[in-house]
Amino acid sequence: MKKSRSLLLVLCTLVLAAGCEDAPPTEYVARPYVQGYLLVGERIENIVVAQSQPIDRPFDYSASIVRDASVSIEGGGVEMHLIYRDDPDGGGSYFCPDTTVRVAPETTYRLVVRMPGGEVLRAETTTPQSISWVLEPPSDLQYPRDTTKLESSDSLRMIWSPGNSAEYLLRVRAVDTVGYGRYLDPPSEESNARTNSRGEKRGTTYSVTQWVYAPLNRMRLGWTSFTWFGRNEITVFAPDYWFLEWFKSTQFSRISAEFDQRESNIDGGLGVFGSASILRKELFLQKNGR
Amino acid sequence: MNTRLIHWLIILVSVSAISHRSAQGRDHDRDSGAQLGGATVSGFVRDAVTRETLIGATVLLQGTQRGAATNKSGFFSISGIPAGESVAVVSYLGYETREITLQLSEGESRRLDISLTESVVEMAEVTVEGTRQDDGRQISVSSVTIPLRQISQLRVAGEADVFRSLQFLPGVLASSQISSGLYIRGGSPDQTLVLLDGSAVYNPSHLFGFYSTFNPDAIKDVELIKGGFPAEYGGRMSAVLDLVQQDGNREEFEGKASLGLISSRLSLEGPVGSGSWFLGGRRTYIDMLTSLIETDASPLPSYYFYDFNGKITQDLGVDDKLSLSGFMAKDQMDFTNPKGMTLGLGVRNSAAAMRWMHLFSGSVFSVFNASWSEYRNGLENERGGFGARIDNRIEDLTVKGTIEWFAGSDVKILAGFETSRYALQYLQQFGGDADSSLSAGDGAMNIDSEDEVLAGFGQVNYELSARLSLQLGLRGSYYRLRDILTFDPRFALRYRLQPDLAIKAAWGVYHQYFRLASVPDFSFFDTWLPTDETVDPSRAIHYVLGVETRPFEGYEFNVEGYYKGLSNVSELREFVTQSTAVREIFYNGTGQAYGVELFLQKRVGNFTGWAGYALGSIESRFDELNGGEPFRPKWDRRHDIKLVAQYRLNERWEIGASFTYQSGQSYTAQTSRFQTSFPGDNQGIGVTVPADLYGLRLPASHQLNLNANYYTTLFGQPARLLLDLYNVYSHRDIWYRYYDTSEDVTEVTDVVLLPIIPSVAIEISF
Repeated sequence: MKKSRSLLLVLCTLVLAAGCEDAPPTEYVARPYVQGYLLVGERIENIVVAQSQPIDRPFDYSASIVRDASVSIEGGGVEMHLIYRDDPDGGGSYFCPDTTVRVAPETTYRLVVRMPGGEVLRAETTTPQSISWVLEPPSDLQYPRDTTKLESSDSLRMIWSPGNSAEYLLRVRAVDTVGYGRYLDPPSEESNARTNSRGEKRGTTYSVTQWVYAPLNRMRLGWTSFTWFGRNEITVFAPDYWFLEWFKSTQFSRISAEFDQRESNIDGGLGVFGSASILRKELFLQKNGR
Repeated sequence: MNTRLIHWLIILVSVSAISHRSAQGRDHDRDSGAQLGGATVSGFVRDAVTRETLIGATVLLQGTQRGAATNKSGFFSISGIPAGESVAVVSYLGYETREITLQLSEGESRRLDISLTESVVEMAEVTVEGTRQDDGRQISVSSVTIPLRQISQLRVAGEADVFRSLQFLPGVLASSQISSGLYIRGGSPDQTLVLLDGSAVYNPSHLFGFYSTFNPDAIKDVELIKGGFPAEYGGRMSAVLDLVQQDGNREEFEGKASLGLISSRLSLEGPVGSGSWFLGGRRTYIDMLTSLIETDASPLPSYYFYDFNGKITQDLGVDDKLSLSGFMAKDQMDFTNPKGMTLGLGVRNSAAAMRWMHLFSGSVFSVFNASWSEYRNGLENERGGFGARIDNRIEDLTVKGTIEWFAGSDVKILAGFETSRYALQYLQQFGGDADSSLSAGDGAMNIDSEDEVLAGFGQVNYELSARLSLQLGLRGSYYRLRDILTFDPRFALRYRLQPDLAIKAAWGVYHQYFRLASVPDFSFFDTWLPTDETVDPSRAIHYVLGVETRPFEGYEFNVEGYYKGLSNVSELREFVTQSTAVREIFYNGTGQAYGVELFLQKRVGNFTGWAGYALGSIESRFDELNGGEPFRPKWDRRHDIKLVAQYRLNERWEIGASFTYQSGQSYTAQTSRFQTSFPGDNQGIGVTVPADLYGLRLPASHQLNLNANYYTTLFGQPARLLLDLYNVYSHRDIWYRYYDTSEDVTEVTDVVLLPIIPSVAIEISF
């Protein structure tokens, strides 16, 4: 009887112990990361090369940047060796020093990155067809006086040619978060302000961009897409497959985005090498009446 | 073994059994040497007061091992009874046993409708003479029935719920504390066939999965078959949950009302014509409560759910019964914020069925069922002229017929057909034009299709000897859209070692044609998709071996081991926004689940309840996930302990407790981090790098609940005061763990679930 009770006790303990939480993994291997977006008609620049960092330490963006990699891009029969420069935000990126080179549509570009430690990363993207406006947004917009009684407005509707993409991204970017009155006629000293859509904030800095996913080649933006008054730029992106998949896998779950190798086309590392055709339209968003 | 060979073996054995029966003409009664051309006794077993049919009641011939259990319509048939005097002993859980003396002549077919009286002394130690297992033709493998009485005790936050009660069985898991979805022996909720009076129900949940849509007051019988289910069930590959609605009191009007913290219920029933009617409804008042506390500056979502059951039953003569039943459940959430954004989410389940039962003779029973079922969900969102809509539905029109031939005391033959027509729609509009109508042409994800499935099945239950019974079945199905024909052989046996000790085994192939795109913990955007030309139907092969016994008076003990091999199973691809091809919406892979379950149950007496333990393992493998390496899915729980106890103290008080313990759910740990951004961004997004998919376990889940019922009277009518303490020691289960990278320091955050919840409800019968 005593033996049975002891056995039962041991079994129960084993069962309960087997149900305890597993200790988190402690192994960490620094992995190389590459991020590059080729925009049709634009220069080849902002190619980021970095290393991942352990998750149990504060992330240091500047320290993650790799400044001495060998980066080259071949496309359209031309091979370009990129050089590094620091960015004002503490990071840095690689760019093509020949500023006459522009990204061509429907062209395959191949990226090769040789890390200082010897790893070689490769990726490839084929740029989409160019797109054009069918119905572009106006240059001036009046933010509604009463945002609780928003009426459907055609002024935010836009249409573009489909190109060879089936899904699109829109970006609203505040061009000047400080100046406002200087752009008026007559100019004034009035400074810019945020709309009642605050946008994302990290530390003391607000994001100047808002991204929107568009499943068709037409869209009606909502007023909440604008986080600042004044000069704004609306950009339509017709992305290639990898740009779009990278966007979905990271933007749809922003505060807890998890890397997924299936959404990455970097052979030998992490990240994305994608491309897009773009359309830009700058407009001025007038403040709503007080 | 070659599948085609198995099919032919089943047909051969079945034909042999039938031929043996008819060619021999007369058989030897193994007890008394009488001839087969003996008498047949058949009929219905009912509650003496309400006239409600009783499912699973047993009719045994005293002094023999011959007997029968009533089927889903309360019908039984015993053939080959020797001429002369016989005593039929009729018993059913919670009712007084009855003995009926019969004088039968050679070849006579006697119709015997039996009434049983509920035991006068509540929960008295009534000895149940038999169980369904005493019908030698009946083999129930992996089948569990929970007395409705116990379902009403297993309350969550004061609400009794059928699915929540089933989660207290070993081997039946939930994805979380807030989900009523059933994960049975490694199978996901969409792999369980849920039937309500023969109609399939597609997403039976309220409150985004917290409760099921089945009002316990409207349900008469709950049978869960965890595996190895027979050929009459098809379309799903893991388990079957077969629910039968109340017919209603045929003798007098009665009702029951209850008022709880989350919802209130009302059920009414009574006689009409030559039958009865039943109406039951339930509604929550969360919306009324939130409207009292919200302000213009801080609005709250308005949410409500309701469900409604109705049934009318009529006897069209002695041998015919017709019933019409309906069911509707709705969830609706609306929200408007001060900035003018409006959001509406709605879910609706609807079903209607017409069921005709006909007795061709005392030994040929038939049921024909015509049903319609629809599951629908939708979303509407508008802000500043920008609108978005989703409209998603599956509609099922089914005609089904089953004939049961009680060919002899040792043979029962079942055959039937099932033909279904489906309409599936998934329409979305994210173009911003909220006022535009949805059509299949808009948007790359839109689906609007129809499909038909035709099925036929046959089954033979053959009692080879006093010890050995066999069940052989075959189900064939044709799927029009996929243009494919599948065959599902099913086999089961029971070998009785001793009167109270038997070995059971089952094997079978189970195809599933529909698959579900769903978020495991949050049942709202469930979308059913058919098997199209890009994939094959999902398939499972079940192996079950078990022992059942009655170790002590009033106790039943089952030990069962199982193995389930799965192929063409699906895992939803995240972030799919294009394509309607199933292959591009789901990953396709394989899996296996195996384990052993121990279950000790006591169903009669002042003390009732059960203790269950399950040791199980689930493994999945998809080429595109985890580098193609096998992994355990999120709902894999190695150990699963369930304890339920209910004790009737006296005429006034009844107390109970339930305890569950499960190994922690699996999750994917993260090891490192990098930062990404997009053109023009001035801020980046932190992205973590995962370790092995679901490679680690969170802490174990465990919880203790207490309940007490106080029996009294209110306004002169019987009433109950229901007191519940959910999660007594307030153990906060982890719903999920995520890594918050919004700051430079990565925060590992656990989202925890429900704390202790006391609740009180009052129930009155009239």
